[in-house]
Amino acid sequence: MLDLLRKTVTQVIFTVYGAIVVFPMVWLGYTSFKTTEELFADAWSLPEIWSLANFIEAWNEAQIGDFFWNSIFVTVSTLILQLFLGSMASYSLAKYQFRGSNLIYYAFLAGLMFPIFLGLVPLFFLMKSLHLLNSHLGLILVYAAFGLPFTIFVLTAFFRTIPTTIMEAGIMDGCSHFKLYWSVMLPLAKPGIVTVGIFTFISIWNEYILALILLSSSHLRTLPLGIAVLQFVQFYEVDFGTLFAGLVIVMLPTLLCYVILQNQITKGITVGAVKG
Amino acid sequence: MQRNWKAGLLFILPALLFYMLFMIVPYGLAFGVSFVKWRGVSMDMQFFGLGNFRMMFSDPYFWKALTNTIFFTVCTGVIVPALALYFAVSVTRRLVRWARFYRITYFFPNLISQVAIAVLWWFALNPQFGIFSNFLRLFGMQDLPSWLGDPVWAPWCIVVVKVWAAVGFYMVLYVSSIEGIPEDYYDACRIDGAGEWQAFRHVTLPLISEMMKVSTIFLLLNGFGTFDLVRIMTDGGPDRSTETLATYIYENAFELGKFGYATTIAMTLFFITFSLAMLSLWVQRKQAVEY
Amino acid sequence: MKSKIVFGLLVLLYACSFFLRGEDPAAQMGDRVMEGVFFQGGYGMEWVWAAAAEFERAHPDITAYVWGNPRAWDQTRPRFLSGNPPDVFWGIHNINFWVNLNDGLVANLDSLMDTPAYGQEHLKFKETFMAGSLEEGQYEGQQYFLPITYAINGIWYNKGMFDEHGWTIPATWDEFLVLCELITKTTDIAPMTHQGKYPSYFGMIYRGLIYKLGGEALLVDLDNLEPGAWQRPEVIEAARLSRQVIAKGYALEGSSSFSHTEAQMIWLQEKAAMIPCGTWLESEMKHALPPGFEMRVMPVPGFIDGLGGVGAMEASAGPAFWVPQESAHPEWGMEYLRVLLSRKLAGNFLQEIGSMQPIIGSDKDVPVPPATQSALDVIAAADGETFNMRFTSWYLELDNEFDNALGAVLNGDTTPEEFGVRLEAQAERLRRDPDTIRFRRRLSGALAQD
Repeated sequence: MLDLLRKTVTQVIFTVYGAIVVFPMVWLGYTSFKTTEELFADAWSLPEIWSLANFIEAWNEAQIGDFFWNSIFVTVSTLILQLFLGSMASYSLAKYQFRGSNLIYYAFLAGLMFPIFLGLVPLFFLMKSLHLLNSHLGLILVYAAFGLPFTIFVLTAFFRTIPTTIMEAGIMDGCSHFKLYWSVMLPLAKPGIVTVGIFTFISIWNEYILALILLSSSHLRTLPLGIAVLQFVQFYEVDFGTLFAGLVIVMLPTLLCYVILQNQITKGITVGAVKG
Repeated sequence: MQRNWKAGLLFILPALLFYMLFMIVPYGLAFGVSFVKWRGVSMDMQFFGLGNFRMMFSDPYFWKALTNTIFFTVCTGVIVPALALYFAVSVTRRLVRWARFYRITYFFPNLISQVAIAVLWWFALNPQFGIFSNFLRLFGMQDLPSWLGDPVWAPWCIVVVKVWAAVGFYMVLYVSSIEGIPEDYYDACRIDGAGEWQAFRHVTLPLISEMMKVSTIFLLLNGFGTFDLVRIMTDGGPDRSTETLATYIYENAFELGKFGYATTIAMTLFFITFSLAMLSLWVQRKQAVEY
Repeated sequence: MKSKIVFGLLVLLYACSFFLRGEDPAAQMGDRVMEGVFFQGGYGMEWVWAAAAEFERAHPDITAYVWGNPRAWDQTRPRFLSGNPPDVFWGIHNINFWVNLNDGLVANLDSLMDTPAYGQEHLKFKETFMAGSLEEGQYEGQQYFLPITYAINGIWYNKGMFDEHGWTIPATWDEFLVLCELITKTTDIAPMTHQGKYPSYFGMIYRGLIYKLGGEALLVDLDNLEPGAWQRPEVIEAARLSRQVIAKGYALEGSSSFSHTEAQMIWLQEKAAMIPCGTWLESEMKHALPPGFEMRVMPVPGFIDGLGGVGAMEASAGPAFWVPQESAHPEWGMEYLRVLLSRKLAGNFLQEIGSMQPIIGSDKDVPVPPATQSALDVIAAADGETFNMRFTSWYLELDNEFDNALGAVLNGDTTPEEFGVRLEAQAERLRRDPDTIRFRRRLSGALAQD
């Protein structure tokens, strides 16, 4: 009896929370088809007419076309650089012992805790002196560096779970260190890399502050900057329909990627994190 | 493996150099900025010694922001793991139907930007046409508080939104962690006649302690870094009741033109976060359990 | 397999992005470019582009590259640091740009003011401005900032609604309270709403009250950070009266959380009768104006025995345009301003946007939108008596504290006496701070129209 009660309560709680999670996004979705007047007249009803006007307006107004490609370029480039450097570093920290490796590990960890504001302005001047301001290259380098702590944190845990015996076997077979890393260890760590890759993709796709500071030309801007501008413009011009359409456009790629790849994430975290 | 330390160093060198150049150097320089007065528009800086720190300790807004930040951090740090763990256990121990659906959808809030979340909830919490107030009115409630406009309710609203935005991520973390526990342990429990709760206490909890350690640190960072949500939903108000250290730093740096002072507060924020993180690691280090 | 497809798609997109990345429009414009960056807000950007087109007509050899953004200041700040600011600039009104003056970033505009006005060559540029409107942008007698608009603030109401119910416009505060009571008793409409998230809007009502109680002398003392000014009886009384409105339930439920958007939308939806705002209201809400909606403005109700006129209106020509000293072509930036603030373009501004620019005669050349005309009529009815306060742009911390404390008073979380205490404390902090630039204001004539 108590069991049935508990089961029902659990079911109810889950359904309620599920609604709380899914409904806002569904609402965002269908509201973006409404005009602003309709929205304020009755915020929660379905649109009378499902018009694409908002989306077209958002795309043009926020120059989403340009920003989309900029974001793709910056995000994927960062991913490549970061995963490459990070996986090498994690591999080293997990499998090789040398003096100072622990210190280096904690140094990377500390990086997770720096509040972004702290380093913003000196970073700006550093990039200025390196002539990397207002360029995608500069932004990519900074993103990759800032993403290293998290990448190394997760991947080190991964690499630690891969048995050392494989390594020793490889060395006995005459593999060079790099070949060992590239052909053997990396494929084994694929779930971890995919996981980190997805999280990194999401966070860079939505990153705002660094892009704001390091990019001043509007043609270089990434999507979050475009959306932020859109948000404020629509805020001042009271055009919420367009704002919502813009938010939906930004949200779609990450949503789709996640739904398709979500089992990779859970698989990925499982393999290494427990023993971490 | 000791013999191959040279290779190890080589592997780590590129990342290390990168990290040092783009992260350590700026943050190191930032440390210096907290000792000057600087408006942040021209290069005109004035040495101020410990003046910024003295100013900070006697600044009532700093203390208010600090208290608020601690409030947000503690609330999310307690509610989020509890809720996420409850969801994770229920889903993996098959205590609820359609577990797979929930596993996928509960992560959704983590996919959208903080801006979108803030706009969404700001609409939902609007006292006139927001769904929340109208829902309560269906039950005949009158004279409802104006949620984000009320200095008592606003902080709690922020907590609710933060929890909503975070639970999915931690649930996923815990789920994968629990799935790594071999079924034999639970079988042994059942044979011993123990129920789900005992299984949870004696099997699940100890074996996911590593993950709990990790999530504590992330939650700490999450709490202390609260910025976008507050800025868009309440802008620190009403009357600074939702002001956090991050929003106060921003105000000082980018609106009031007090870069030196803002950096001082940011340094303090860093030290607090770092110390708490180290503390939590130290407290939990004794609890490491192997299979 | 799914992941292989996603991966492949990503690679394809990445390859495309190499070619489809944004291109720099400025690079295609050549050398002779005048760049202007503007805050994009309630006024939109049309007027900026119109002035740019006019500029190019007058100077066919120079390209006017003007753009705007609600985050103009944030995005342009790094350019000041790297030494290549735009040629003319309007940041945002609540950033401490007076501080920029001290850092030597702002070019002196005196030479510009003496050149002939665009389109009215017989007058000097400075003579085309309404009396008093240039002063707000001067420091120690020299011109640094130019005003954007002549904004008139007051309490806006729905003319149709008032006519329908036969309500009369209250002149004194007592009449105002009677009207609110009447509205509450006889209709479902709330007497008023306000933009609670930004207490500076209700601040328009508050400032009206202290002027009408204490006169210009009080405002001057407050702006000059005179010791004890914030604890004068008029200051406390105005706070008490402000709270009275809310305490009697005359404000729509939930107002304290409304942003300007929501409050104004709700007012347009006729859920409330009155709202404090400025002459930008009509233009700002143009997307959402119900057909046939007629908005009019009334002064903040006054006091027969007060020191300030009963019907006076808050009006100011807020200084905001400036030319960065370090820009590539400051003289072109100045030229752009000369065109922008010409009588012809000011008329255009008024017609398209409904707000006035402080250029003499600009309202004579074009049909004035009814909402703005009502504001001008009210001022005329008050014999041209207007007032404004400067601390809101001079001392940002005081302005912030003012907003916070007023919000607290309205909510009932602070007493009117504590309000005075808080603001006096903040003023004291500013008086003692060696880094705060002090400005002085003198008693002057009110901002007259011609």
